[in-house]
Amino acid sequence: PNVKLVTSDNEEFVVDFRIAKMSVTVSRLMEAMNMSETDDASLLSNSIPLPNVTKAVMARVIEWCEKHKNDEPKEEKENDKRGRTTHVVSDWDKEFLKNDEFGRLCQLMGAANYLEIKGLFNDISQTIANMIHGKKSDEIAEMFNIHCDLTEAEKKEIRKKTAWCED
Amino acid sequence: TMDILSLPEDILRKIMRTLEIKDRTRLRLTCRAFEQLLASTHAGFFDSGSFSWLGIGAAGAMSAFSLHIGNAKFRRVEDSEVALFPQLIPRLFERIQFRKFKINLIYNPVSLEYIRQLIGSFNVDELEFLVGANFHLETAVKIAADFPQSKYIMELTYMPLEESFGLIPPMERLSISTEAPQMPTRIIIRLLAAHKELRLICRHLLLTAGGWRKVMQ
Repeated sequence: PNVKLVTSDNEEFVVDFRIAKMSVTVSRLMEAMNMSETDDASLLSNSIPLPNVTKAVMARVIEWCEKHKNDEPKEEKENDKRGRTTHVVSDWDKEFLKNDEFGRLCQLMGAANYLEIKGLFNDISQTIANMIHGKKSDEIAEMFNIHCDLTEAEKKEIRKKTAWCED
Repeated sequence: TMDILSLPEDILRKIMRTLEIKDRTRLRLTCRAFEQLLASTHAGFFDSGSFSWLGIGAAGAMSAFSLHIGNAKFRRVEDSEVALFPQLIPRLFERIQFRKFKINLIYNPVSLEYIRQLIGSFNVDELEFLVGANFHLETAVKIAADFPQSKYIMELTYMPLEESFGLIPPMERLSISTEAPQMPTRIIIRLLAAHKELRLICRHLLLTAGGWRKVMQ
């Protein structure tokens, strides 16, 4: 069975029920609208509005979901243990995300956050952490278009206090 | 290029917990907003960490300070900076989670208050202590009480006074390495009852056949 998703720019995407269920947000909305996998009429007569996602971003989200629709569900760790060491970005995902300039990556991350697709969100979060990893502060600032408002004296003070962190 | 700081705060907070500690220190230097964000965010989950004095260095004990957080090492600092160190930690993260954190109290000249400040923002699944003297045992017991949700492991490199054994909270593993020639059977029985695992590494330990029988019973 298929589910209709409608983006903020009124584009309709017809996706497999399994793909729609990968988003916690869409799952909840389907439940609220009494849409069920075994009830074709409920799926045909309804569409899910997604006002926070544009057509271009939705297409990317669906591409990621198509690739991951058969993944085993990951064991959810308790809140404090999530993040950092627990997420590894697969080669396919690296390839999928590598050509996105930072602005598009942020839009995709916003969509993954809104749609509650944890795997995609974690992939992008880790990708951004990897972009930061090993870079000097001025390189990070340039990459992310950050205007530095710290004075030289403040920077010197911070450097002094963090100089102990070695490889 | 989109400004990273224009991302919603909940997203930024989630990104922050995926960063390595060293990257956090560099990100702090980019702008005031990141400096504040880092100080108010969770640093994520680290498999291991440790705090120790590597020994008494030529320049004095303070020169051998060593704190490991995952792969990041903080060490080789001037005496004057060591005193400031507990103030640095809260500026790098609000909280941090370790699977295992080891505190080596041997040669460790800092006060209980210093250690409390240093690790006050830590959540630890398994807290391990290396203890070489009675006053360090008291410190370890007080620190353990600050972490009531943690499991504990302790390695004693000396033979405490009998009454001091009673201070030690239940351990997942208690190891005692000692040169002491004798360990009363009643102490062994008591330790076996109090702790999940007991390891005695005693080169000269003398336990009579009667003592063994009692322990086995």
